[in-house]
Amino acid sequence: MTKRRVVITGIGAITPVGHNVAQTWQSLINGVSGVGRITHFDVSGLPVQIAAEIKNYNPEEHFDHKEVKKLDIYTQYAMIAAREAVKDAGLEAGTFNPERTGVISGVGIGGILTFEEETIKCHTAGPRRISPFFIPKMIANIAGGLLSIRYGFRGPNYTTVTACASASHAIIEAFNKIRLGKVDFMITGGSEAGVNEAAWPALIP
Amino acid sequence: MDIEAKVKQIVMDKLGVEEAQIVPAANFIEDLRADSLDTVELVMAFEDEFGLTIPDEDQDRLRTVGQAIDYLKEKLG
Repeated sequence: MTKRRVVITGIGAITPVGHNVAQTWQSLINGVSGVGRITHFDVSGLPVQIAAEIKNYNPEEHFDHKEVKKLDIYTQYAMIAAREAVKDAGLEAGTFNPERTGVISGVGIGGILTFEEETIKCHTAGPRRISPFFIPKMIANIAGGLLSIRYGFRGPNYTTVTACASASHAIIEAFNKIRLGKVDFMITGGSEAGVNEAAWPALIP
Repeated sequence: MDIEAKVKQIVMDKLGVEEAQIVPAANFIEDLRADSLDTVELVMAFEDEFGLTIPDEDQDRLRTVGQAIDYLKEKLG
């Protein structure tokens, strides 16, 4: 069986050293470190107070008010990077067959900040106060799912959850989908937003 | 703040719509683009703000901005 050649036609990124590919690349070649003192929450009292956060991030610059409330940060990051990649690739409506275009996204955890917030609500205000968006906001495949909804892809859509290897597994899965001729285009990569009050101390030995 | 102003504030916040769109006849789903989960969240926000419980069977009575205001006025009156 002939295997198709696979090429990358567009890339996107939002990282600790840049809010897009150009900024990220400039930082990398200039040796800029993304590590700094944690700003997302109060770290006083923690033995480790540094992390590679995405800095100066303002969701309102990227999403409307309703989206900001409905999208966990990990999903926001995925959508920002994907938007840049889709644009870079010139993947516009009419240029692809929706049935043969899909998304394989990677994430190690998912919306852990949402999980934390809603769990606190459950235990302080009671189960009736849990948001109906709790599960659709935090599950690990919502970022990839929303990308297909947004761009109208109807091909394969699933998420790899394999800790730090999640995005790599997503990319190889997407690569194989194209190589084996099952699809024409795939959006793939990974995102995570785990530097928060409950998750961070758990990562420190 | 009166009930109407509070309801407006909640609807703006939860549905991300402009104040001018929030007229009494505005239907949350058809006019203000709420989905079914949004409407649940709206009801929860009304419950939190006004300190009452809105039973599931009453939720059909809160389909528009005006209906929500009337309902809350009736319950709080």
